[in-house]
This record gives sequence, structure tokens and C-alpha cells, in this order.
Amino acid sequence: MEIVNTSCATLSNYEVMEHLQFVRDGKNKHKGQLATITYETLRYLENTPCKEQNASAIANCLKDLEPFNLNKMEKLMLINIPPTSAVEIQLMVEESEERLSEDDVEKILGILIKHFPHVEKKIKMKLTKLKMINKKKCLKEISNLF
Amino acid sequence: MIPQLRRFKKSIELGIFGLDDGAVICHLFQVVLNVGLCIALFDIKRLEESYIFPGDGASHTRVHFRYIVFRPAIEEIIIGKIRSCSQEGVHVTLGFFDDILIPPTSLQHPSRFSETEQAWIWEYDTGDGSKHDLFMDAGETIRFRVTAEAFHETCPTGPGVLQDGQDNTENKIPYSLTVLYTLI
Repeated sequence: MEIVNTSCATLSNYEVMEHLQFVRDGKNKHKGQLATITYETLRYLENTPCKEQNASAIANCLKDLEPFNLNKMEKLMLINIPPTSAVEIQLMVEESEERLSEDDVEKILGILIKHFPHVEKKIKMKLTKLKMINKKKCLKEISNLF
Repeated sequence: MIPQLRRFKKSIELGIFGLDDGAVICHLFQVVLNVGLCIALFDIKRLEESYIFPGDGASHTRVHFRYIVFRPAIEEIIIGKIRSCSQEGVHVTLGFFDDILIPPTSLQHPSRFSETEQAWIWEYDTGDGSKHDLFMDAGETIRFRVTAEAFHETCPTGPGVLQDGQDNTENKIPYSLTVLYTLI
């Protein structure tokens, strides 16, 4: 086997998910390892924000992100895991403090929420869930004391 | 996740399996050295002439194809789940890929490992001098940044090596990631 090009393109989570769904629902039923890895990867992807994305939303979002001079990797991360707070953008974008002003960060967050509105809802759900977990943990700690 | 497309040339037995069967190609490799974890066949670019070799009934064809491969870039942030905790650090899983480790030095500081709970605990400083213990329980979703990757050859060793009773190949992980814990 000869490897011609180790990475001729980069795919977003959404593109991979779409391709794997096509493979899974295809005519040929795969068996063994391939079926396992298709199933496991799909299960992972369907738990990430890409489940509710679609091709046109991603394309429009990338168009809107153009003025910010982000590199390919950064844009990919923004699409795969749409951030919802300024801290998350700082983690994803290298030297974000120098490259992006506070207004820019706000604008990026606005663009992401505009194109992927489901992300915001998820966060709210997560927060309430976290509160529940904390409550449970506190109760557990208290019961341990006695 | 950055599954990347890579192109391979590979001869597969056309006569037996048929071309649209990605299983053939996938069964041949799971992790390709210095390429990544193979997920699925993307497309077939070109087929060359088939050959029949003496003493072999099958026809062999060179196939140029692209494959979806999981290989996150260094510095990339991924969402994963905690698989388990041990003295070595926190083991993270993506479901289809398990060999991800957060070493203790890359955890939030200060952190300690609890033997009784079998979990790493982040001693969060609340600011008023007291500490609040935050547990890294198995099954929780976390975000992490990839800091290093490692490929190991797992080819079977020759008979001479096996006789020494030192068979390390089984313990070797073909592709592993070392990551930094970022935030929940």
C-alpha cells in the first residue's frame, strides 16, 4: 500500500456524520469491524452539536466568519463545537487577545448563535442539569457526614 | 474531530469482493502508521488495469481511493467522556477511540487522586481560603485539547524475538493521544 497524500482535505463533524449515515443506510450491509466503527462513530457524532447542523447553515456561517481572518483549523473548531462564551473562543483561537477585539468576539458569538440556534438551548439544559448534579452531590456529602 | 481524507493506492481482490465493498479495505487496517484511525471509505478515484498473477486465481487491481481518517490536529479541542481514572491520569473515550490520556500534570491545578473514590479531584479554590472538591467521575463529558500524538508499530515480531519471552507487541497501543484538560 502506498499513501499518496496523508491529508488531501479536512472534513467537519457534520460531513462525516452525513457520510456515515449514507454508509449505514446503504444497500450493502457491512459486517464486523466496519459496522462497529461506523456505529460507534455515528453514536459519538450524534451526541455532538453537529447533529442539528445542515450544509447550508455551515456554508453561510463560514461566509460570515470570513472578515475575522481565522485559519482553517480555528474555523473548523468553531463549527464542530460552536462556542457560546468568550472564554471558549479564547481557547480555540490562538493569541485571540491580539487578533480579535472584544467586539469581534461578541460578533462571532452572534454569528454562531444566528446559524446554529440550537446550541444556546443546549447550554441552558446543561446548566440546569449541572445544578441538579451539584445538589445531588451536596446531599450525598451531607449524608456522608452523619 | 478532524477526520481527514487520505488517498491510498491499494490492490484488492476485485474478483472476490466487488469494489463498492468498503469492508474489504477497512478490514485490512484500523490504524495506519502516521496516518490515523480509519473510519470509512470516502470515494474511489481511479481504477487501473487488473492483473492475474501466475498461480493465483484472483485478479489484482490497483485502486486509488480516499479514506476518512480520524486524526485530530495538535491544539484541537474535542469533546469526550471520562472512561476511568487511575494514578496515570484520566482516561478519556470518544466511543470509537479510547486511547486518550490526560496525565496528572495536565489536569487542573491543584488536583489529587482519591484511592477510595478512584477519581481525580480538582481542589477548586473558592477564593475565601476554603476548597471545594470537584470530582472527575467516569461517564462525565469533558472538553480537552490535544497536545501530543504517538504512533507505535504493532506488527507481529519474528519468531526469534518471541522465544525470548518478551512479547511487548500486545501491550503497545497503535495510536494514542496525550491531551490537556480544559473545561467542563
